[in-house]
Amino acid sequence: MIKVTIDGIELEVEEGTTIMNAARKIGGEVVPPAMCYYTSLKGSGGKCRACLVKVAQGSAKDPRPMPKLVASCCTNVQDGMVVLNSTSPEVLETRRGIVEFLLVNHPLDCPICDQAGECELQNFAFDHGLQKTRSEFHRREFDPIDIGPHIKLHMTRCILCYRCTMVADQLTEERVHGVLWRGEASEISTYIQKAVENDFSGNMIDVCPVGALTDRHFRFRNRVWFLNPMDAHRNCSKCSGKVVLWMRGEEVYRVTARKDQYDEVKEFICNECRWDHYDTKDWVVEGPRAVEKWSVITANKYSKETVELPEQLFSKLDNAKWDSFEGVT
Amino acid sequence: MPEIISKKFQEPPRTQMLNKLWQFQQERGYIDDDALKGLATEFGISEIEVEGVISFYHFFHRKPTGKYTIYLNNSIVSEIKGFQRIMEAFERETGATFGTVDRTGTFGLFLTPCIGLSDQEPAALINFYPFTNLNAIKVKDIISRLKQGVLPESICDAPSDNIRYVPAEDKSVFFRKYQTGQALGKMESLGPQGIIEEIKKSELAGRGGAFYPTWKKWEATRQQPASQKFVVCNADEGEPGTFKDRVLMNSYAGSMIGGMIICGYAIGATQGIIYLRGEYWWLKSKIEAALQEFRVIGFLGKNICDIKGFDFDIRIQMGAGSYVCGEETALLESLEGKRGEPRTKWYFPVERGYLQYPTVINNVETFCAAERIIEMGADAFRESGIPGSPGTKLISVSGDCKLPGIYEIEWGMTVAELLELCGAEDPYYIQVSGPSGECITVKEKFRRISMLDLLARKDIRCGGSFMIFNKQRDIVKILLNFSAFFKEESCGICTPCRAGNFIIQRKLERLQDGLFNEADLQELKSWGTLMKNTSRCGLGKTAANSLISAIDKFHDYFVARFDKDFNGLNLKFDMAAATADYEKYKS
Ligand SMILES: Cc1cc2nc3c(=O)[nH]c(=O)nc-3n(C[C@H](O)[C@H](O)[C@H](O)COP(=O)(O)O)c2cc1C
Ligand code: SF4
Ligand code: SF4
Ligand code: FES
Repeated sequence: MIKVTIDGIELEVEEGTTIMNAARKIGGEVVPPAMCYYTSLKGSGGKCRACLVKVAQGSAKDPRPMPKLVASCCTNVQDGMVVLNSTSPEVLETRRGIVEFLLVNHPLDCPICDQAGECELQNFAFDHGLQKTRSEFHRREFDPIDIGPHIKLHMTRCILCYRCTMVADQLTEERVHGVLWRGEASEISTYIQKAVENDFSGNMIDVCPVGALTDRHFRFRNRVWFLNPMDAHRNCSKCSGKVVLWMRGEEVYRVTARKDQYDEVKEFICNECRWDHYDTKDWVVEGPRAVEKWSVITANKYSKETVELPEQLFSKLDNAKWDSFEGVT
Repeated sequence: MPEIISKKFQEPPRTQMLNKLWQFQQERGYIDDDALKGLATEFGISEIEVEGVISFYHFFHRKPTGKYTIYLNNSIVSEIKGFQRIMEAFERETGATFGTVDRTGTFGLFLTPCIGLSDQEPAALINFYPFTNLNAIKVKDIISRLKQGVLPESICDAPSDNIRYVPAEDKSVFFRKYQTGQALGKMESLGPQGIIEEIKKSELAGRGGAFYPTWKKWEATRQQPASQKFVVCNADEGEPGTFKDRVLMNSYAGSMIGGMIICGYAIGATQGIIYLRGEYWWLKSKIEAALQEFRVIGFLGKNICDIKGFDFDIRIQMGAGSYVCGEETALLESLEGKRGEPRTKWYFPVERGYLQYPTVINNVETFCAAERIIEMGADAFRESGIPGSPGTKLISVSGDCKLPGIYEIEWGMTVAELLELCGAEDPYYIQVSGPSGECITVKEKFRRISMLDLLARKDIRCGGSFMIFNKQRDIVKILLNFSAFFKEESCGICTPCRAGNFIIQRKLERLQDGLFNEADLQELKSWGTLMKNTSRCGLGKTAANSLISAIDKFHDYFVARFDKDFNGLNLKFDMAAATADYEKYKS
């Protein structure tokens, strides 16, 4: 075990733990945001730079000069390391910059995006961003394309986190979509627009942090904040069968995998559970889902923190952000 | 002690990806669907993955590129030497426009960043053969001859080395008399440890730009217990304005090969790879011939250099047009037949490099220097240079000067001396170490060029090039050229570099039109600083260097460019426009 201090909180972790995972052991404000890292996807992380933290002090072992900004999702802690996250103005300032960079090529039109309300970028921008954009330049646009009967890809919204390609590589038989070109021209594409069809392809939608990959059966049918998430399960031969039913009244609008407080799916579900069982009779409904992460959905929904939540929300709204609010939602 | 090296190591098939793609590209002029599908089957990967690799490298095409594929260099030095006129001449003579192929499918015209011939610009590659010092008449002549069926290889130029300056009194390290194998003869008596000691004593530091002590890399790799180790020579020389490695490989390939063999012996490797940039196809046969000569003499192969049990051979891997592949971990990915995206730095290449085996990656000049150090002895090497920065350094000089070419300077020479030597003409803005380096003004000409004092910034650390611009040159245009380069060459996997280079280019375009004020200038600098602090690899970390230093050093110049009547853009967010696409997206 080695010792590390994050935002003044000391803890002991096993060697080989990343700063991100060490921080998640503490929880709360100490945890850096992540837009590309995904625990269950091998090789994820290191790309979005949202998780940068300041290493104020390294260890005797590491000769690199400190302090230094490092990506917490792909940097291991070292004995005696001192890390600053939310207590460092420099980190917060930098993070604001990362929001700006992410939005340089992302449309500012959450009101017409189907992901709004459960979008990691929207939440990230709200928590860490500015209220104004400094980029007056044209953002790149693509036409939405269908990749198969279930999934819609709208590249305009993609932040190139690569998570979907990893799902395709690691969960499905053969990858039929991937990254083409390079630099600012990079895009997620399919080879001659081939259908994505295999048992676990639907998970691409769940891992996508933004509205670039959406469920064709659900798109634009309802706002997520009007739906009630219910934990449910069924016996499934292909996956765990543990899902969330998104309901309005008696009707199941969509089925997704369960996400934890870091917006991550731990148990991926198969396409059959996702798209072939819209009837509550097919499911054992466990009850309302305790949504652990603060977001628009939790505002009038079930939460583990039902008592604290209104206050949290209040402080978010109270900080004069809204006075000069322009566009970035 | 390290384990015994396995002698029958086979590199996995996928490492042949780039070679296969080159084969199709050169035979057919492009990579067609059948070829792509065939490769996917052959390597057992999906078609989209092959497509991803192809689209990463700008010398690979999915559409025909003409019987004669012409790449004209659009780097800044080319620009000041008449790029515009040459571009027009090519279009006029071939009937094609840049980015396309003419209607008969004969000529394909494309632009490419620096091709390593900055001392003889404007220059172009035709079917990857070099054509230098172009002017409109020469272009006309070349195209008419090609139309007559003359082969480009029979009329191409042989780029001269232009070695302009070598230190006196036999202090030259690189250009002293070369005799094949002199250094190799000393290997056995020194032994691996002795070699590393000698390199340590010489204080040789990496010449690829990072100046990491060479002995430390070799020692670390030597210490790794592994069944296989690799020596990789970084001959990607992508930094615009740099052409020292070209000259070394053109005339002293043996020295580079020798350096690799010595390294292989010191660390216990059996395989070396030269990663040669696609722009240098014309050098490949020369290096190939040198390798063959080494094999014949018994300097490559089994039990080489009369050392029993020392097996070592070298192959060349051609790159395919990507600057970021010069970054060592991107280079490794490229060698493995993948997109050249820099790796997440969990390990150093000396721990897990090529195919996850310990790997030494050094620059061409580093290997040449190492070979010469073993040949002449570290003490003799230390005769030149200054304390703390011994030896000599190759500098590629180009731009506004009488004598562009290679200067082997002793570390410690001042900028003024170098400017004097090369006949700089009214220098005003000097770009040191390429676009990723820094710019200096003539006021700084008494600074020394050395490896010292990085933090105090008294001396200038030069990675290998000086681009000189006189007072008539447009600094905004220079910076725009650089930012266009970085935007094109960013691999795009991390946010700051992907978006940062884009936004910097856009802002500079606005500055060029004068629609800029002091606040814009400071904002531009802040975007650059942010990209520098947050990017994943060296490309993004350095891409804004020249911009930031220029804003500091040439502040008045920029202010003079502002349009006096400009008082900011109206940047109100237009919700109606942003939501107009709703119906379209809903589908
Ligand atoms: C974007 C980028 C491009 C690079 N291009 C080159 C190159 O073309 N040639 C080179 O030798 N090193 C290049 N480098 C440096 C290499 O990463 C590496 O440091 C070098 O090859 C190590 O060799 P050395 O220790 O002999 O300098 C580049 C680095 C970056 C970040
Ligand atoms: S489509 Fe979504 S998951 Fe895929 S790279 Fe883009 S943002 Fe990431
Ligand atoms: S800084 Fe990021 S986007 Fe730029 S080349 Fe490096 S890894 Fe790629
Ligand atoms: S979460 Fe660490 S870089 Fe994206």
